[in-house]
Parts: sequence; structure tokens; C-alpha cells
Amino acid sequence: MNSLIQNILIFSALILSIGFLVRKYIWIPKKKKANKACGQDGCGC
Amino acid sequence: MSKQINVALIGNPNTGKTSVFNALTGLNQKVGNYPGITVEKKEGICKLPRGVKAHILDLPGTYSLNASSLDENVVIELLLNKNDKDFPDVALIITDVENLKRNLLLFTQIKDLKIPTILAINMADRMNRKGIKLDLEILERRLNTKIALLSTRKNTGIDTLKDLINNYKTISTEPCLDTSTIDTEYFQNLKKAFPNQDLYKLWVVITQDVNFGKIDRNELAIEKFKTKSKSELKRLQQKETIKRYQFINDVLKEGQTIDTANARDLRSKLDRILTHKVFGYLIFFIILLTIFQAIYDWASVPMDFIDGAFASLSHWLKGVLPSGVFTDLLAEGIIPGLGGIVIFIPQIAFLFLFIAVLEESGYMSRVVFLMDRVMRRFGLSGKSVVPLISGTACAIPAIMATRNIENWKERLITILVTPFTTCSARLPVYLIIIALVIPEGRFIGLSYQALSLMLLYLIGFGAAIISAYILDRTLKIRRKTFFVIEMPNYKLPLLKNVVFTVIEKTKSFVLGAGKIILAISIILWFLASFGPGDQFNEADRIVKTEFANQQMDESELQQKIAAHKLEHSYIGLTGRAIEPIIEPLGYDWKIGIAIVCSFAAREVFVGTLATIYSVGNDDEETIKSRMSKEINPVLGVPLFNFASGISLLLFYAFAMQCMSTLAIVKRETNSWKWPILQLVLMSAFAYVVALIAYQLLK
Amino acid sequence: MTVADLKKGETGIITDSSSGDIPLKLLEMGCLPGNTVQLLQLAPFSDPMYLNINGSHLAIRKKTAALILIKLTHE
Repeated sequence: MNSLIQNILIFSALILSIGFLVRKYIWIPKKKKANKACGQDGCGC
Repeated sequence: MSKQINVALIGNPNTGKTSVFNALTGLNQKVGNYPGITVEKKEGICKLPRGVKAHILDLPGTYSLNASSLDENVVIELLLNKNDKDFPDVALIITDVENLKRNLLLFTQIKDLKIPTILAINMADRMNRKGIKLDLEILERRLNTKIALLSTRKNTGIDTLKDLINNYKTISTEPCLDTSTIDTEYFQNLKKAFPNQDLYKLWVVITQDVNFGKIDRNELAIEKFKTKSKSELKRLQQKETIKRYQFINDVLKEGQTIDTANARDLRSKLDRILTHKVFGYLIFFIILLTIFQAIYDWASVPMDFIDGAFASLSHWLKGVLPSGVFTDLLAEGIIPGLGGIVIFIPQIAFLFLFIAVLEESGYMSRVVFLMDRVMRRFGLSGKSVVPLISGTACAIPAIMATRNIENWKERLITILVTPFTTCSARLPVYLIIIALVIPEGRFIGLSYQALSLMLLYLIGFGAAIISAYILDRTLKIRRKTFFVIEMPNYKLPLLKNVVFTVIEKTKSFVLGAGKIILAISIILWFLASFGPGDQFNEADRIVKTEFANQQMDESELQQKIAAHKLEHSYIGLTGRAIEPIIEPLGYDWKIGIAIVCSFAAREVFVGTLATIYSVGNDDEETIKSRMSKEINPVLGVPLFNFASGISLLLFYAFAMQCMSTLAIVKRETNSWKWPILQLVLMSAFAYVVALIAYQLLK
Repeated sequence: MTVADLKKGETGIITDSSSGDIPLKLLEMGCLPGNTVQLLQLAPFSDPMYLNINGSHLAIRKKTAALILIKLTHE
């Protein structure tokens, strides 16, 4: 029983970690960029 | 349910706005981000008399509503959008008694937006010293507002301020300047086109729109009214500025008297020495050295303590929890992962403590002044000094500190080269390799080992500067000179402010890097704890058979099994797979594993080697002696020799291994292009340099 | 004569600051015709320049200073 719980726990940890990293690095643009405001892309100001 | 008043705290930089914010909110503050952009959002709750609460938003310091940076843009966005939940019921403008004239420009602009505005004049304790006298009654009348004279240093006037906030509804919203006087014809046309809108508000939207290009404005459809060119609008803005100053000068002539005979001037006396052509630099250099030495000395005590504490925790957990894979994950993956983050907090906190003190005192501006010309030759700005120095603690808060660099190209280059500076995480790697391969001996009183460490720091800075130079020549981005830095009065840093700043910056490191390091640690633990095939799964049996004839106690046997398992785990196979690539650098697959694991955090290198060489605990001496005995299978010489050691040191100096840094670069530059470029170019460079070093020295 | 020509300690009165390349921010900090400007300190190579403009103590690059026209006043 203990072994089962432990296995579930570690795989959950793994999935959470991978999920977190994917979201951080392969960020799905859920929100469109709010402002193309000055100070970022070299608008030359 | 008590009503909550929305207060917006606005003001020029260097007016003590932060101190006022701290005085009003105490510890009830939190720092976050405005959605979608990398500007800090600072807010807090202040308890007012009669059970009323004020929600205070500390807006970025700005000189006027004409925004020249992302920070300042946030201020305008908020003040023009009545539907924003943070739209203020009352605006609190913080000014400082010595720069009242200039500070009032912003005040008149905010007032003209028809928001109830309170004027807080801070640093009242300096009035006598500067021979300044104010007639508050006249000022209140002419400016149509209520004034609170305060001194955050002496803690006076805060209660008056709270009362004024509470009674904000009694403040008039009469504007200071009749906007249409800027250009009667233009504004008359504007009024005809938009009869229901406030003229000044329209004016702000138009001018900001043109300056920034396309911005969605949900309030007005300005498109059809761009009848003036950009330069014409700028000329009108100049006129507006002149008119405002005329108004302000009038008001101050009545309400303020300055007796210069009585004024004492510490600032110019100090400036004479601190910005001196020779002594200025000397003093700065000495200060830098002192800071580094102090951090080195002070941080080692808590670091040792943390190291021991986490090791004990891990050990204890293993004993207390039921044995199994999750316990292993906790004790061998998560706890060490967390420990690896926490152990750097002392160093990082101390460095930011020093930087905060230098900034609060006003000295940092002088440093920027001294360094700007030099920095510019390399495509950087004087304001790049703080990020570069901060990078010796951790690149993450350092890169965040580039936000005050106005020029995009200079800012981008600073962000890209900061990771070259020797961050704290590289130190454990440096120290152990240096201890292994650098010979004993002294040169002018300093040991070779100490000199090597210093050299590595210099190499880090050198690489940063040189790559900045190259980037400056190769990046095709327009670069307009737009450098203005205020030289504030020297003042004694307020402890409260310094402490709050340190806590904020350290938190950004812990949260920013921490989560990533933890996630990667978990994944790496998995890859190291599982493997395909019999070699891994039957490790127990295989190792026992192999050593059946030898006398070995239980712990030694367990270590051998662990080492075998690691060798045949997924990570071990990865190490073997990349071995051909790293062999020309003098490494073997075991070092390969450690390098791969360093992608979580560089310092993991040492711990990984400990596991690989089946050293039971992380005792440095044991690891060192074990490593010195390791033989390169191909050549038959010690694996960690001078050549491979130098190669390894240089590799770690130049390689971009820190995933957390890449995440921050992506966030601050808003694109994947730059972090990927960093990763590829820096790693390629590191590889080539390490390769050459090894081949030349072996 | 421009601000860039000032020697350490000299003062001038601004006559023209309308050049498009002068950031508006500088004007808002007090760099307007009729206001006084004094050179307080110079970094090596005369760049940046640490000035007192109308009471505001600030530093700007030489390139920007060269755009501000002044009339020298003799103390």
C-alpha cells in the first residue's frame, strides 16, 4: 500500500514539474500582448 | 463594511515616495506585476481613522505625464482609465521641499485630469538647513489643494496626511491650467469633435498615442483626429511645459522664500571628491573591493549553517518517513534542490544590502555619472553598472534591474551580457576545481588559488564587456541618446527602505529561480533514479556478484550499487552518449552527467559528482580526495589534472547553463529570440574555449 | 554657444531648447528658455556633464548638451 502511494506521489511530482516547465518555456499565449508600448522593441524613441 | 479608498501615490523619483509608502502601509504591502508587462506593481493597505481603509498603489516614479519608459506609461494608463479597478479616488503627489518647482509640474498635470489631488511636501526637516520657508495657506489657495508637510525621516506629518486622505471628497478638482491656451485654434476644433470629453484628457491621449505608436484606447477613437505631425505636437508640448512653469513660478513667488545665505551645501562638497577625475574612480574601486570582501567573509557563516541544516534534514527524513521512492525523491531530489536555492540567500541578500545603501544614499547616481562614458564605448550605459555588479550575486535580479535603462539597445545588451559575470552559483564549482588542480604557492603574498579565483572574476567581467562591444557593432537597432539622470542630495539611508528593498530583491531570486530549480531537480532525480534494461533493474544482483569475493561492509556495498545504478540510469546513458563530444575537452561521461545536471543550477555539479563517485556524504575533503584519484580511462592519467581543470573552469565561466536566467531574459525582452541566442552562442563559445584550453595545456 | 561649451563652474542662461532631439523630459525638468544652467562637474572626456539646471541637479551626455543654446553670464 505504501509502495503504491509513494509511486503515485512521485509520478504526480514528475507530471507537475514537467507541466510547470512546459508552461514557463513553451508559454501558450492565452492573453494577447496587452500593449505594444515603448521601451521594449526598439521603437527608436 | 468599511469603505476602501483608492489612493494613487505619484511623484518624481528621489522624493522619498517609497518612504511615504512604507510609512503609510507598514508591512501590509505586496509586490506583483502589472498583467502582461514587466513593470512592478506595488500596493498596500493603510488604516485610516474611523475604521476606513485606504488601498494605496505606489506608482513608478515619473517626472511628468509624458511617459518615456514602460514604467511611466503605467501611470498614464491608470489615470486615464476610469474603469480600472485601481483608478484612484484621490491622487497623492509626493514632492520634496528642495525641488518643489520641478515636482509641481507633475502636480499640475495630475490636477488637470480632474482627480482630487493632495500635495505632500516631504523632507520638511531639511527646510531650515536650506533656508526655505513656505506659506502653506497661500500655496493651498493658489494650487487649489490641501497640503501635508511631512518628514519621513523624523516621522512627522503622516497623521495629517492620513486625515487628508480620509477627507478627500472636500478637495477641489479645479484644473491649474486652461489647456486650450496652448493653441486656441487646435483645441477649439478638438472641443467641437469631442464635446463630451475633457480637453486635457484628450490632449494626454493624443500626445501619448503619437509617441508610442498604436495603443488601444478603449475610451476614445483618436484615429480621425491626427491633424498634427509628431514634431508639431512636440512643440505644443513644449509650450504646455513653459506655461505650466510660468504658473508654478508665480505660485512659488508668493508662497515660497529661499534664503540662500542660510543654505548649507553638503552636496557640492561631497561631489567635488566623489566625482573627481581621479579620486572618484579610486574611491569607487575601493568601495567595490570592500563590498566583495565583506560579502565573502560574512556570507560563509550562514552558508555553512544552511548546508549542514539541509543535509541533516535530508538524513532525518530518510529515517522518519516510510522507505520508498517518494521518500527518496524528497530526501535526494527535493530537499537538496531547495537547499541549493536557500544557500545562496545570504550572499545575495548582502550584495543587495550594499547596493541598496549606495542607492539610498544617492551615491549610485555619481557612479553612473563616472562610468557612463566608459560603458558607452562598449554599447552599455552608465546605468548598466548596477546590473553588472548585481550579477555577481545572481543574474536574475540583476537583469530585472535593467528596467531603468531608457535606451532599448543599451538595455538589451546589458541583459544579454550580464550572465557572463561570475555569479554565486559558479563559486562552488570554481572552488573545488581550483583546490584540485591549482598548485600551492604564492605570488606577491597571494596564493595561486586566490589569484586564480580573482582571475576568473576578471574573465567574467571581461567577457561581458567584450561581448557587449561586439553586440553593439552587430545589432542593427536604432540608438538614440536619451540619457538623463538626476543627482539627488546625499542622505543617510533609511533602514526601513533598505530592508524592504533587500527583502523584495531576494524574494525575486528565490521565487524566480527557486521554482525552476525545483522542477528541474525533480526531473533530474527521476532520470537518475530510473533506467532501462537489466543493467539498471538488476543492479543489486550484478554488483553483489561482482564483489562477491571481496570483503566489503554494507555501506560501501550500497554506495557501489548506487554508483552502478547511476551509471545505467537515463542520465548515465545521456552522459555516455555525449561523451564523444566532451572527450576533446578532457572530460569523461561522469563529468558529462554532472554538466547536464548543472542545467538546473550550476552548483549542482559538485553534489552530482559526489553521488557519481559514491561518496557517502557531501564532505568536501572526501569528494576532493576521491576526485583526485579518478583516472582517465583513455589516457591513464588523473582525470582532474591541470589541463582538464582549466578547461572545466573556462567552460563554466562562459556556458549559459542557468535555465532560470533564460526564463527571465525571455520575460524582460518579451521574445524567445534573445534567450535562445544567448544559449546557443554562449554554449558554443564555452565549448570552443574549453576545447582549445585542454588541447593546448594537456 | 551651447551647454557643451561651458567650463566647470560657469553659468549661462538658456536661450533655445527647441531642438527635436532634446528629450521632452529634460524640458520638463527645467531646461527652458530663460532658466539658468551651471556646469558643476565634468566626467573625463567632458562626458557626461553634471549640471544645475534651474535648481535641478542632473547629468546629461555631451551630445544632448550641445543642442541647448545658451548665453554665457559672468558671475
